[in-house]
Parts: sequence; structure tokens; C-alpha cells
Amino acid sequence: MKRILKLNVNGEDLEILVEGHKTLLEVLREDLGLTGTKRGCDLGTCGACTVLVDGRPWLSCLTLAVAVEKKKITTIEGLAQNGKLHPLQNAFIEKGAIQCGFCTPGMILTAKAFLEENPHPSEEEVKRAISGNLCRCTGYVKIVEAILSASGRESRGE
Amino acid sequence: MSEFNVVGKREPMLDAWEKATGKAKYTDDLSLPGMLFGKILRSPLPHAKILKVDLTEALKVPGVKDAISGRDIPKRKYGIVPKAKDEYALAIEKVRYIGDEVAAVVATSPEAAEEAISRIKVEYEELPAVFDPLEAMKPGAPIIHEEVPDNVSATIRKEFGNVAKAFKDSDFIFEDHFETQPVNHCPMEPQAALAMVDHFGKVTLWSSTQIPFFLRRNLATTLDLPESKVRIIKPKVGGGFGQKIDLYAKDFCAAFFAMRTGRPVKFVYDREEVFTCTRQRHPMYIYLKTGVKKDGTILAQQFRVIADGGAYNSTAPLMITLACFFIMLPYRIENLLFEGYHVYTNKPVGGAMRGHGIPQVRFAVETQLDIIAEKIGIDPLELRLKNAFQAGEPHPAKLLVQSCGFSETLKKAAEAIGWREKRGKLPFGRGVGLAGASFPSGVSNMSHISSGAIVKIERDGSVTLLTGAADIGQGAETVISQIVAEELGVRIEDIRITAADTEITPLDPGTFGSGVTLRAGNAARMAARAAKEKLLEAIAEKMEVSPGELEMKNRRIFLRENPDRGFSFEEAIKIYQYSDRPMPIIGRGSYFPPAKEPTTLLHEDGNFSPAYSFMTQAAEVEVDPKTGRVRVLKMVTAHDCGKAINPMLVEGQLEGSVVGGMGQALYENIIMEKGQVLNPNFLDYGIPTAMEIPSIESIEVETNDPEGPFGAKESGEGTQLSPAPAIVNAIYDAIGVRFKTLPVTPDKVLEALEKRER
Amino acid sequence: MIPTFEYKVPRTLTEACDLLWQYGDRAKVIAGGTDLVISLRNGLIKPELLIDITHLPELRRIEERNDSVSIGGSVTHSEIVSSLIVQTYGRILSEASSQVGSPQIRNLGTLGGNIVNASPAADTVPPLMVLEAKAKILSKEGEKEIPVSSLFRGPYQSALQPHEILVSISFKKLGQDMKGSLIRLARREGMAISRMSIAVILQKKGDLIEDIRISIGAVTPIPNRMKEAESLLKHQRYDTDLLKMASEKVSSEMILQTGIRASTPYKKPVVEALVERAIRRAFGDTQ
Repeated sequence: MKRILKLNVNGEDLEILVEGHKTLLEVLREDLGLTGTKRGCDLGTCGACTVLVDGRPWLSCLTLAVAVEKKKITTIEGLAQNGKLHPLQNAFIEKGAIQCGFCTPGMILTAKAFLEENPHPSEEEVKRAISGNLCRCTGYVKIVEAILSASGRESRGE
Repeated sequence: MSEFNVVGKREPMLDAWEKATGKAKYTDDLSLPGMLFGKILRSPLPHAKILKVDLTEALKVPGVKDAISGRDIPKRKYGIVPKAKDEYALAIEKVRYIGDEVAAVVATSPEAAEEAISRIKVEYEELPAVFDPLEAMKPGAPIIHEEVPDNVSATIRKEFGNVAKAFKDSDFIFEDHFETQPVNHCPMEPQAALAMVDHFGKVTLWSSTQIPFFLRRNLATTLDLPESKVRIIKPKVGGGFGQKIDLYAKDFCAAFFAMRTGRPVKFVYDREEVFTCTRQRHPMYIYLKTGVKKDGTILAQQFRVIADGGAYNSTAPLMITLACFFIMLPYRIENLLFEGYHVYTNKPVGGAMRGHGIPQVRFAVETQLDIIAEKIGIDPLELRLKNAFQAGEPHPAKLLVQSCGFSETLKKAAEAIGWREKRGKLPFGRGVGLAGASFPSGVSNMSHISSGAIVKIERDGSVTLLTGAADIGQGAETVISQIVAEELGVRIEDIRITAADTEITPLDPGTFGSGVTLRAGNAARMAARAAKEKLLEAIAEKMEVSPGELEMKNRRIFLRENPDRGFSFEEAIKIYQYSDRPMPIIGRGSYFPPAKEPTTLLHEDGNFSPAYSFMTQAAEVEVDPKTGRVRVLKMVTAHDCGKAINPMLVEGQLEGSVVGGMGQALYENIIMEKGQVLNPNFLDYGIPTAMEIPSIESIEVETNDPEGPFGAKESGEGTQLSPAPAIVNAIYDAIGVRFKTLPVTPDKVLEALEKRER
Repeated sequence: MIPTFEYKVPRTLTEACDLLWQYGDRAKVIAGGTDLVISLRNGLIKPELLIDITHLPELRRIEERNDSVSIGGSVTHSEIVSSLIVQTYGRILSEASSQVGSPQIRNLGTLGGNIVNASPAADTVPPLMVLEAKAKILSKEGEKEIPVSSLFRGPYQSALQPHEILVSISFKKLGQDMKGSLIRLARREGMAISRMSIAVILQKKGDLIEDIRISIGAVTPIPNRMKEAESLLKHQRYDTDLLKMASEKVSSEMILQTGIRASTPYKKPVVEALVERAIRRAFGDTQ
């Protein structure tokens, strides 16, 4: 059964007609063409589908799209502002935190929410914050480095 | 100052921007108008005859456009190794493991396809099944493939030197049995394929593959089409680690349904399918006998290796051969006998995985070396140094090692882990360990496929690079571009690369055997050189000098002896054009690893790889004796990768390998009961998360290899060989218990500690 | 693939109760959805109606009332972790919530969901058992308050009726002299289901154990208080031999409930060691 969903995605108010039982992940990828959000397991165990809902990391594969009406949804496509990359995106690129890139969108969004809550984290706090985002390529080392560098710790020489 | 401008630089990956912004397109991100969605029906039984497949009800589901079973497909077997083809795209007469493909449907929505799958009726006659390779080898065991009545589908028996005599001459003999577990590659991107057919009947397949040209060959075979009617395009691939080497039912089905329906078709595996129906690292039983002199010199080693291959061959003969030849480094072992068996069982299929057959055997060797060291009273580091192979030494299997930094990796890793201060001196529960390894930089004479590249210097001074190399996230495109930019004296941003499209790019074997940088890098460098020579010829003519006097660097062409005399790159191209030479300036390169003798890995001995990398892993661990939990505190990885073309990407390879290896030492294990996988998901399988990672120190030991492009060797796979034995050796140092089976779970640790107390 | 259903977002508790009364077991309540969406996809449940209770104010609050703390059923684990009230008066629960799944799961998953799902490995349940928490349950039939411990019928079987809503959980504030300790053992640090967890609350008076409550999670079909071990320790002088005896009571109780299993040779010594460790920590014995 289709229903009209009112979603706010990347700052834009959208009204779309979709099957009422679709997950947010399916709506983003299939109905809105926002394929930056990845399907890694569909069980909420890999974090590749992470988006931000009202600023918090959210598993879009475990979320029914109807459940997030009226909330603000941010996907990786909405992170750069006016063509300017978010500092985390730059840090991931420059520090070699991206290999195959499949975990990257979810990882960056998780890190963004985390740094907003905790702007000067320790290495252990960073590891804990991204523990719901699996990566098989990097061994996480450069991801942690990138997040710390975006947090500004490194530049202050701490 | 470095002599290079682009090589050796920590360049970000060329596609990192796309990946960081969500714009990178992986196979499942692609759609085409009118696209259908496919699903595969899989066997619920480990071994059964298929009596009847009834698709009638499935075809009645609204939205369903087509359905097939094994009886509808060309009866053409496929397999990665031509002589070991044993698989149909869909099972025809019988199913051989739980998850074997039986039928498939396509529909206008994934939901309809799934509904249709549930309505297919299959009648099976269940057959006795066998789940352990030792059982499968016994006379009277169920026969899984009629052509292989003993279930042993690949064997190798090689003897070098005189093993019996060497054992007689040995002061000590050590015999141990080891076991390793099945491991899943767990690429984050599940396998996917999208196919369309044009009106000439040509199939185009976008696939998450690491080996497009082999996929073209296998797909053409299974579809019963000439290769020219098949085009493979590799979009972004979300990791492979060997699991995306094989053709899968999703590739065949997407193409076959596209041919039958005339519509684009997409198949995407779910995570459970990735875990159960793709490939896994072969579990092995390993018997290892080693003879040593009192001073620690290794005189002989004898291996008997039984690999559990699961239901099909995949890379079987290659895997067992690699295990034999590449265990013969990094130590000097003059006398060696290797007997290897690849055995069918009614279980998920073994295949290539990072290290391909070698990590299992390496685990045995490195663990036993520590046993030997203790027994004869030599420091394990000294024992390894004593037997370490050196560059230029003659090798019993005729491997030609032109550069070798093994001893240095041993020393540096030991120093970084604090070997002298810590080994045997830490409090109970803490310990350090190390292990060495070696890995080929690609395997020579692999199916006689050369690696090709085309470099075009365009009118505006940009460079187009065509390579068949398949970047699956390791950064191959970046590294190859760096090589070309260096050779042409331009910036990396001047290079535009198109890769891994069988219709456009030159032939390339693909991503496996850790050979991409060396193979495709050399090809690209040759192509760049060829283009450069053409340009230099025109400039030399203009300047009335010989081409050999000219140099190309910093986007200028100038006289080596008088750098002020010369032209900018753009001016030079203009001069070339005005001399009525053909544009663009095209250079071709084709690299085939040199072989002095007609070596083929499976038949004749010889130098199987153009170059060999060497590495040492060291670990410090902490064991909680009350719960048996092991925590890795620090890992050091010292790696001789020749010249690092891009040190940042090399580190990335090492770090990823180490963490994967750690997962396989401590956590990862595909648990099966009567052929049924019990933990086909991330939660229960458990690859390491960020919270498990220790502090990791990567040490690059640079040795310029004469065969590698700018001296480069592999860095992708070798590092996954030894984290497990390093950790297991560290656990021994910590609690005095030796583990010979993987993974070392808390349960095993506790049980062993209790036994020891009794 | 998820089957079709209706989705309603009631504005008031009464409206929610009416819907549940009307639909009974044809409806399912959805809060975080972390378990429910998976069950929907696997076809384990096929509700006609989903009732979204995340907008009901009564279920979204953490409140301090005189001597007790009340937490709404759809308060998320993340919200519990960051609540000063819970940190101050029921720290052991904050700790448990901070160990659930992953940061993303903690943002979605709710306290009510953790209880109603009735997984033996639910992270918050052993702490709630030692906090002696009570559940406020509402339905068209009226309101009742029952111990959280009575909400479990078996693994993944809640005693909550289909027409009932778990409104809130409350527990008595822990006094200054009440110390909690929680130990969780899982396959990995991150993103793993608890394999065993031990929750202890201990009241200390000099070197005397004035009161103690022990609960273990993940190793028994339903959560339990370890009464025998508790009475062995209560009013006794803190003593390592006694600890050992108490921990053996716990492991016998575990085996009594589960029988001998393949994992028992591992779990028996480990549960003993961890119970000892948890009591030690709660007592402040850092030896």
C-alpha cells in the first residue's frame, strides 16, 4: 500500500509516494536516488547505511521511512555545503582513511555527529564512537587518525 | 631530496573525493530504465539429487517476468582454473552444499522476485553427505562429483633436495599437527551484477569483480557466447580480498535473464549469501615435520596438508600449489617435501583469500619455529635470523630472489615490539611474539595473460591512461597513475585514467596474487615510456640533438646537460604536432613476467614470481586468565615492499592486513553444523571493530627490486600471513600455553589453562 | 522484504491503548525498531498495524520523584547514558545502556524495547533486576505496576499482553552507601551480543556486607536474582573464601537452570570469576 511521505532530506522538504513498508534505506536509495547511503548487511550490524536523523547517527536499514517523517535527515550527499567539503571529508581523503570506500559515508556521518558532541575526543573515544561502523580494508588506523585530525587535536600538537 | 616527483609521495587516492561525498557508484548503485530484479533459490540440503523443479507457481506471481532452473541453461561448466572446471552457474543434476543455486527468477520488484522464489517447488532425493575432508578421503565416502570418486580434486607432491637423508642428519625432529578455520573475506560491499543486452546481442555486465577479463572468459563460456559478445565493466568495488575473483550465479543470471527478457537485470546478494554462498578461506589440517641441527639450522621440512575445499574447486589446484611453493620462503630450506590435497566436502566453497593457501601453512611453520626455539634453547628471533633467506641465494625451487629485506624486517619488528626487554620477562598474562613471511608479487605465467596499458598524450598536455587493472579499493589506479606521471614528468592530476572495461582497456589478469602494482605498473610505465620516446624524437629533431640527451621532468623537456634549453610540455606537444606526426601520441605497454625457463606453476618448476616481498609481524598481548580473553595491545608490521610508490597506501594495506589477521587469530570462524552455516552475519561472525584494534606500527623496509616498477613489490597480501602466528606465539609467552588450532577463543584459552594446572 | 501494514502515530496514551485493545495481537508497538524491523523482514511477524509510540510524552521522559527515578519506555539507550539523573541514582543502568550494541543501536533502541524483546542477553535487564525496578503497564483495562522481573516468560517471550503498553520503568534511588558494579563479557568489545553479564549492588558498612543483590544475564533463559548467593553474603564480613562460595552458588544456579551444555565447562569457571570480580569491585576491593 502506497502512502505519501513527507521527509526532510538534506535540508529539502520532499513529498513522495512510496510503499508504506519501505525502510529509510530503501527510500533514500531507490526513490530519491541517494545511493551514497550503502546497504552492507540490512541487519543494523555494519553501519554502512548510517545517516543522521536530527543530527544523530541512525541505521537507515532498521528504520521505517514513515517513522522519520518530520525529522531532519542528512545523508552523505548533504554534507558538503556550497561545494565545500566538510572538514571530515577532507581529512578522510588526505589521511588515506578511504580504501574501498563502502563504509566511508556511514563512517563520516557517525564521526560528524560524534565530533559535534565531543569536539576534543581522545583516541579511545573515537574508536568507541565508530565501533558500529565496520571496515574491512583499513584496519581503522587511518580512520581514527582522520577523525582526530578533523577534531583539531593534531593541529594543536596534543 | 627524493629523486622522484610523484613516486614515493603520499598521494590521496584518485577516487577518494568521490567516495567521501557519496558520488562513487558501486554496482548496486547503478540502475537502468526497465530494470528487473533477480533472486536465486538455493538448496536447503547439503547433498541431493534434483528430481524436479516446478516454476509454474513462481511465474504466476504478479510482476514476475521469467524463471529458470539448471535445466534451462547451457550445460557449460566454469571455473577459475581451466583444468578444474566443475561448476554450473545453476545446479543441474544435483546440489552439493546448503546454498547451492537451484533456480532463479526476475521480476519488476525485489519483493515480487522474493515471493516467486518462495513458490518454486523442488523435489530432491537426499544423498548421504560428508562434512570433514578426512572422512571424505576414506574409501566408501559419499561421492560429491562423479568424476572425482575419491573426493580429492587437486593434489601436489613435490620434493626438493633429499628429505629422508636430511631428517637422518638432523639433531632434532619436530612433528606437530595444526588446524585452521574457515574464514570469510567480509568485503563491505555484497556481490552484485547488472546486465543489459544491446540489439546486436552483446551482453554488457557491470559486476563487483576483481578480475574483469577472467570474468569475461567465464561468463562467455557459461552463456555459450564468443568473448566478443561479452563486455565486463567494473564499477567501484567495495573490497574483495579474493572473494570477487570467481564468477557467481548472480553474474550468469543477470546476463542470461537480460538475454532472455531483453531488459536490464540486476542481482544483488544479501549478507547471508555473501557468508554462505560465495567463497571462504580453506580450512586446513596440517601435519608438519621439521629437522634441525643443534645450532638451529633447518635441514628439512615435510608437509602434509589437507584442505577442505567445500563443494567445488574454485582455485583448488592453484591454491594447493601456492601453499607448496610460497612456503619455501622466507627461510632457507634445502630439503622439502610437500604433499597437499584439496578435498571436496558438502560445505561452502573454499577460494582465494588474501594470502591464498599460504596463511594456514605459515601459521603452522611459524608456530613450530617457536616450539623448536624453546626446545633447543635459541631465541626465536635468532632462530629466524639464522635461517633467513638472503637476496641472490640459489633457491631449491628455482625462485629468483633479487631483493630481500627479510632479516631487516625481523630486526626492526623485534626492536619496535621491545623484544629484548619483554620476551620472557613480562608478568604472567602478558607476552610478545613474532613471525615472518614472504609473498610473491604476482604469479608468473598465470594462464598466459599479460598486463597491458595504453598511454595517450593529448593535445592539451593531459595524459589518458588505459589499464586493465582492477582497483577494488586498494588504490591500484592511483599507484599506476603515479608511475605514469613520474615516467612522463607530469603531475598526477594531469593523468586521466580509465580502467577495467574489457571493451576499452587492454588485457590484464586482474587483482589477485598481489601482483597489480608490479604487473600493471610495469605495463603502464612501458606505455608511458613508448609515448615519451615518440615525443622526444620530435623534440630532438627540432633541437638537433639526439633523444638520449633529453630529459622530461616537471612538465618540461630539456637538454640534460643544459636544462635551460628546452620546451614546456605544451610547447613540445605543439612541436610534435607541427612536425606532422600522428596525434594523440600513443604508447603501448605489455608486461609479462620474465621467465628464463618455460615455467608453469602447475607443471614445471621455475621462478614463479617476478619479485618477492618479505615481512615480519610482532605482537604484544594481554591474556585474562580468568576469562580466557586475549587482547592484542600492539602489533608491529615490518614490510619489505621494495620501493613504496605511495607509502600512505602501503601503510593502509599493512594496517588492514594486520587487523584482518588479528580477527582470524582470535575471533573469526564460520561455524557449521552438518553443512549449515550457523553464523552468517556480522554480529555472530565478528570481524574486529575499531574497539579491538591495538596500536599498530608499520615499518617500511625499502629494497629496490630490479624487476619492479621504480623498484616496487607487493604490499597487499603478504602481511596477512603472519599476524596469527605472531599473536599465538605472544600468547605462549604470556601464559605458557601453545595453540595449534585457530581461532584462539576464550574457551580454548581457559580450557588449556585448566589442563595445565591439572 | 517487509510485508504491508498500516502505520499509526497516536497522540495520546489513551489513543494508543484504544488501538491496541481494538487490534490485539494483530498490532505491534514500534519504538526504536531495531529488533522489530528485522522480525518484519524475516517474516517472523506480520502485523496489520504498527503503532508508533515514540511521540507519546509519558514514554519519553526521565523523571526524578522523591525517592525514585522513572524512565519512559521509549527513552533510548543514548538518552539514558547522557541522563544526569540516571548517572547519579542508578549508574549501573547508565553503564549497561552504554554497552548496548553500537552507538547507532543505542540511538534507536529503547529501554522498553530491551525489556519487551525479552532477549536473555538484554544488557539493561540484570541492572534493572538489582535495582529492583518496577514496570508501569497500561491498557484499556487499567494501570498496574509490577516488578520488571515478572515480565519474562522465556527466551524472547515477554509476559506483556498484546494489548498492554510498557509506559515506564522506575526504581528507588540508590543511596550513597550502595555501590554497583557491572561486568559484561562479549566476543568482542564493540558490536557484540553479551555472552555473560554480572550486575551487583552492594551496601557496605565497614567491612560488613550490609546488603547485596546479584543478577546474571545472558547465561540463563530468563533473568534471575541469585538469592542463595545473596543470602550467603548478606550481613557477613567481607571475606574472599565467602566470595568464592557465593560465586559457586551462582554457577550451580546457572547450571540448574540451563543444564549441562557444551559451553558449560567454559561458563562455569568464568561466571564464578566474574561474580567474584564484580563483588570485589562493588566492595571497593582493588587488590
